[in-house]
This record gives sequence, structure tokens and C-alpha cells, in this order.
Amino acid sequence: MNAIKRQVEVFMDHKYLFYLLTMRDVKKKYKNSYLGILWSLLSPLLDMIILSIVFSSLLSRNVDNYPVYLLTGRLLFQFYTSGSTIAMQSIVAAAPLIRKIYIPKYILVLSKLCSNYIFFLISLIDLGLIMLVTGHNITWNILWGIPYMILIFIFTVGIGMALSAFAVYFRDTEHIYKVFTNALYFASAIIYPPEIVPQKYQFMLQFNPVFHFLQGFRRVTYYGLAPDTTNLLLCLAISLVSLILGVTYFKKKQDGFILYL
Amino acid sequence: MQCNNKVVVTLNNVGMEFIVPNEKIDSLKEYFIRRMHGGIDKQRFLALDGIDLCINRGDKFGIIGPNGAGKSTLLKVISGVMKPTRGTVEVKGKIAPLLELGAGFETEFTGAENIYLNAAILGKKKEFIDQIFDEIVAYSELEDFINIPVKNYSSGMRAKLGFAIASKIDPEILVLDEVLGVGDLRFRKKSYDTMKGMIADKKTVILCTHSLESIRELTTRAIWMEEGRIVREGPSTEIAEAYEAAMQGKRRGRKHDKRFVTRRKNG
Repeated sequence: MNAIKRQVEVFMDHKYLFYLLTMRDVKKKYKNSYLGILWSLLSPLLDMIILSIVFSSLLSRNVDNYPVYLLTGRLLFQFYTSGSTIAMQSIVAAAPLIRKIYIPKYILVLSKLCSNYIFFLISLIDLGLIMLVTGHNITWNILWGIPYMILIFIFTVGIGMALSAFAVYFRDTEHIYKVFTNALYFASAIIYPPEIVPQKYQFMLQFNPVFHFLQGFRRVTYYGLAPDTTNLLLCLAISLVSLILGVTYFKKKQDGFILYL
Repeated sequence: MQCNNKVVVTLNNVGMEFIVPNEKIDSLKEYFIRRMHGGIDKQRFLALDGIDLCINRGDKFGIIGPNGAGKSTLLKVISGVMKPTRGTVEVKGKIAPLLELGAGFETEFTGAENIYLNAAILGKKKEFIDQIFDEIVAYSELEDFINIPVKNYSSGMRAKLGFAIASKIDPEILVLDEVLGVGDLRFRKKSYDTMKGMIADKKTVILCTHSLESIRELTTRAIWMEEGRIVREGPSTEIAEAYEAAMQGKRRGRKHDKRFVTRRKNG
């Protein structure tokens, strides 16, 4: 109990730093660019246009309103990959600081994830826009998307913490992880509906945790249905396990960072 | 050493052991190749060995010793950057370092933005920074440049800004790794005077240096370290004298550091 109280105190002491670090990344992204914040809106849209041209006629029998289908998966997935990737690099990148002064190290990881989450929230404007433009049937169930957005954040925090600690000891983690996320992209049913995957390969989707978040989110947003309780509980379980494992691993390793940075 | 009731830093039998691989392995690829070829050579290195220490409130505490004596490691352990592998460290109050200035600078940002970021890294809250902001700008003499990005600053300007921030944030315990001369000659004198002022204050200061002059001039108590141990401690004039005499006495060739213990780990 006392340990928790101390943790909270330490965080409160560094609350302002946490805020500044998060805003630093947000500001940095839009500095030196004429379009500024528009980029966060433009890049998923351009991506969507290209993929829609390529795939919508191909998949028109399985998916109607392909652009919305694509975005409901892609935006969440994009948060997961860019969030976990940037979190992975956060400790190594802050080496000069860590070598000199004590700051709670998880703040460095968490601020990266938060700034990335802000980009994600901004990119959701695209989804709303495309839904309106294409006259997509929007129901109140779309609000169930919020729990999924929270859960994938928790999930990504866990993964990001673990990866950031691991990357201190093995610097090439970054390259390996990039290959991994590429593969994950195609195993998450983002550009195609999961039904077209043959039965014998379905396990690749089922064993992919990110897939379940996308499915749940899509059900309440794209299909406008009430959430599937099993799926929601599964996502809750996955994110909690990820958080607990990630934080435990990070805590165990953090005192050794300084020796490897 | 006598600890009294004003103690702010207590070290109890502190030891710091590093495990140093003979070749640095920091990628998975290398790691697996090494494992397959049988074992990774490692050495253990005792950077600190059984340090007992009390620093009291208001002490001007000096640490002196040759290169590699463990001075910087000791500072890192005190300021919480490193956790010792043995013993305990207890610190009351907030510690701020003034080591290598401007570490937290974000070069894309303006000087003003960097003042906030840097002071927050040193553990300060927004209200406090708002209050001392003008003082920092005035002290750094960068009024005309405060709203341009730090990447356009000269290295001297960066150092000035860094020193101005560090000197104005008013920590309870100030940790100095070498007395730094920054900026041009005039600013250097100004910063030295400021540092003397801070030290003359009631504040607790821990200073680590090679310079006998700084030890004599700026501190009251001191320890002399060698090979991770405290050789002697006492009033700084006394320590400085003893250290000087010893250094002149032994102009010895470098011998193998006894703290290295080689071991081969088969994996």
C-alpha cells in the first residue's frame, strides 16, 4: 500500500514533465510542415484511396462500403504499430537524459504512447468524415467503440513497455519488429474480410491479439451492431495480461538500463 | 563517520558491481552467434566497494581522487541514476545535478520552450518555472534569442542557457561533477561567482573534482577515493594536502586494476 502511495507521489511530482514530453512530440510532428496537423488526416485518406481502388472491385461481393471497412481496421492497427514502435525506441532515445538524472523511466514510454494516441484520435476524424460522405448507416452502438479504443491503448502500453526494455539490451529488436508488424498487418484482416481466409489458416487470425480488437471495434462501428460480449471480455483479458506482463518486465529490467545505455 | 540529526544523504556499505563483457554485445544476432560459439567472456568490475558516508544539511562536500576512482559512479548512486548492487542509499530532499549542461535540450524548440522542458526534467512544477522564467532569461543574457530554436544557438549560447536554468532552479541538494567553465571569459567568471554564491548559501553541495584548488576553495569536508574505496575523509584542507602529497609521492606506472576479476561463462 505504501509502495503504491509513493509511486503516485513520484508521478505527481513529474506530472508536468509528462505533459511537456507528450506535447513536445505533438508539436514536433507539426513543426516545419506547411500542412501541419492536416497530415494526420491526409495520410490515412490517401492510403484508403489507393487501397480502395485496388481492392474494392476485387472484394465487392464480400464487403460493401470498402473505404469505411478499411478505415475501421486500419486506424486502430496504425495506432498499435506506430505506438509500440515509438515506445520501443523511447528508452534508448532518452539515453543522454537517463545517464544524468533520475526520472521515472516509464514516463518516457508513456508520453510517447500518449502523443501517439492523440494522433490516433485526430485520425478518427477521417473515419467520421468518410462515414458521412458515403452515407454509412450510423447507429448508437458506435459509442461502444470507445471501450475498444481504451482497451487497445492498455494493450499497447503493455507491449510498448516490454519492447522498450528489451530494445535496451538488443538494439536490433527494432528491425526484427518492423518485419513482424508487416506480417501482422496482413494477418489482421484489415484489407480483406476474415471470412475469405481458408479454414486451415483461420488460426493465424485467432492467435493474433490485435485481430480481436479490430473485429470488436468493427462490429460496433462498421456493422453498427451491439458488442459481442465474448469478444469484449477477451479484449479486456488480453489487454490486462499485456499490461501486467509489460509492466512487470519493465520494472524488473529498469535498474539495469543505465549499464547498457 | 559521525552521522548527526541533520543528515541528508546516508550511504551504508554501498557496493556497485558492473558486469563488463569483453566485447560489447547489443544485438540479438551477435548474441546468438556468440552463444553458438560457446560462451561470452565477462569481467566483473567493482566500481564502488563498501562505501559508508554521511552528508549533513549545509555540508559543502568534496570528492577527490584520480581518474577511475569511482567518483562519478558515487555521484550517480547518490543522485539515484544508478541503483547500487549492495548496501543502501538514503536521501532526504530533492537532488539536482548540474552535470553536462543542456542535456535535455530539444533543438527544434525555442529557448523559451526549452527552459520549461529542462526545468521540468529537473523536477520543477509549472508555477515555479513561471516565476523564475524572467530571471533565467536575464541571467543567460539571451533576451534577443529566446524565441528562436535552440538549433540556431552557438554552443556557447546553449551552455549559458543550460547553466542559467540549473543555477536558478534552487535544488535542496546540488550535485556538481567538475566545476564547469562555460561561455566566454566574462560569462565564465560570472558562472564561477554564481557557483561560489550557491556554495556559500545554506544549501547542501556535493562536488566531485580533480582540482585541488576547487576542493580547498569551495568545500569544507571531503573524501579521497581510490579504486572504489574511501582512502581518507576529513576537513577538506587536510584531505587536499594529504592527496597532493600522495600524488607527488607515487608517480607510478599504471598497474593492473585489482578490481577486475575475469571469468568465463559457458553458455
